[in-house]
Amino acid sequence: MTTRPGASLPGDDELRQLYREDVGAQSSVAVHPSEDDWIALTSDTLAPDIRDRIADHVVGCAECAAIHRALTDLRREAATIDPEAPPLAEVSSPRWPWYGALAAAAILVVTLGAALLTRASRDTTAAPAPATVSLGPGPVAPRPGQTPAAPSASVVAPWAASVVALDVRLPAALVMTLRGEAPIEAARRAELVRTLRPALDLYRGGEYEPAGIALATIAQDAPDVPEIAFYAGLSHLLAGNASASLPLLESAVASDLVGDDARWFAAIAHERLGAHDRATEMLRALCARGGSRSRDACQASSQLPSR
Amino acid sequence: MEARHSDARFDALVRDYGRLIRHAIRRAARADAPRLADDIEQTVLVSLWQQVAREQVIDHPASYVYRAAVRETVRAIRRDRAQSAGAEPAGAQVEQVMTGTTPEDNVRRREQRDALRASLETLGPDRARAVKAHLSGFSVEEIMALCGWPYQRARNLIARGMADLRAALRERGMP
Repeated sequence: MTTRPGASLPGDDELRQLYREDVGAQSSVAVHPSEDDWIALTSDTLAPDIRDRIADHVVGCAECAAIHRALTDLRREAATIDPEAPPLAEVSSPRWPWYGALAAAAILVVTLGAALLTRASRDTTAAPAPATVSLGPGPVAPRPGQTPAAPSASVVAPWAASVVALDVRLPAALVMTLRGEAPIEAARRAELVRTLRPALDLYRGGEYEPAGIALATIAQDAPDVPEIAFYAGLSHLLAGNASASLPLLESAVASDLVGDDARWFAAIAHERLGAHDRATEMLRALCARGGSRSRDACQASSQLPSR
Repeated sequence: MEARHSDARFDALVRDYGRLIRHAIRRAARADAPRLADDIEQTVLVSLWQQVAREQVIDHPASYVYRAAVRETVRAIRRDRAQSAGAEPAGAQVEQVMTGTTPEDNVRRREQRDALRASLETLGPDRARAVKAHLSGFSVEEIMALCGWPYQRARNLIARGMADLRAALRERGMP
């Protein structure tokens, strides 16, 4: 940063540099948060006034800032391995619905354009039109938490055109040590977790086709954990294989954790397979349910064309 | 207790947390932390197990290990900072920035810092907190986690606070 007379402070980076210098130049005599304070802060159990006091200290203390960064990282990652870890608040832009609407409109335009091009091509070659639409393998879907993908060419409704890979959520009982649990049951669960981990790593790594196959195999042996069938079905759907995904998703609707997501993705699978009436019926039921996917389903229902 | 602690799932959870702590420290600690990463991971794992071994019964093992992991992360970073402090005297960063500048430059720089500090004092408590966190280099997610704010509130406080700060700096002759 320049220090000439009349120099301005145009950027946040330069202000940051100045602020850090100022913090570094001051000898901090304040008491640092204790380990218990950090535990309470990262568990969201601090009283608001104490939280404010600690926050005021952390923003002026280089060591505490480093600790806070590390703990935020730890907390974010902990949610992926530990269902009991306190989750971080979701970072999401309120403008997303607007971008979502734009994206849906763009997908509609692309879909209509692709359909017209396909029809023109068929007209010139006089090839027979297929009875059902097959999306094929489709584009590579994003990893969990990344931007949604859209099929390259389809006549599916816009609401079913993109699928978002969800973060993995599993029932706490799967990874918790329970009091009074029979050793044989504990051993079975331990084995299940051992085999599940590499399959979920495939899913998290965006390798949806092998993930779907591996998870479906595990799901067969664990019908009491419908979440496994759900991620198997979702993996198949993300890999562009709606027919393989459907029975798996339908078997997961009983899950308390992912039941509504299973219904939503099953409706998408029906739509992609050309079963528009069944998809519409599922959407309306999901809309009326009032669950976590109700809003999406109601919005999609309201945009359904008359068929 | 022995049977409980030898449970493979519990072992795996502790190991997973050890790995997470290692990654978190590598990102947050000073430049020489990667060199110490293996030592840190070993220390963390041993400390986690020592904490676990002191408990007779753990009702909620996962949340217990989470708390232990937070504790070990705090300790590991404090150890790292304490070791680094021996090699880098207090105020070295400021002196480093000022190396090669004239005395007039140093005076002007100090005046700018005074102006920044005074301008920050004119902000309301939440805006000042948001701006200081932003200037400290915290991401929005880190500010949300620190202050317990939802996304929209955090973004608004940062944006409005920075606008207020710039206005206050302009009043002090720093346009």
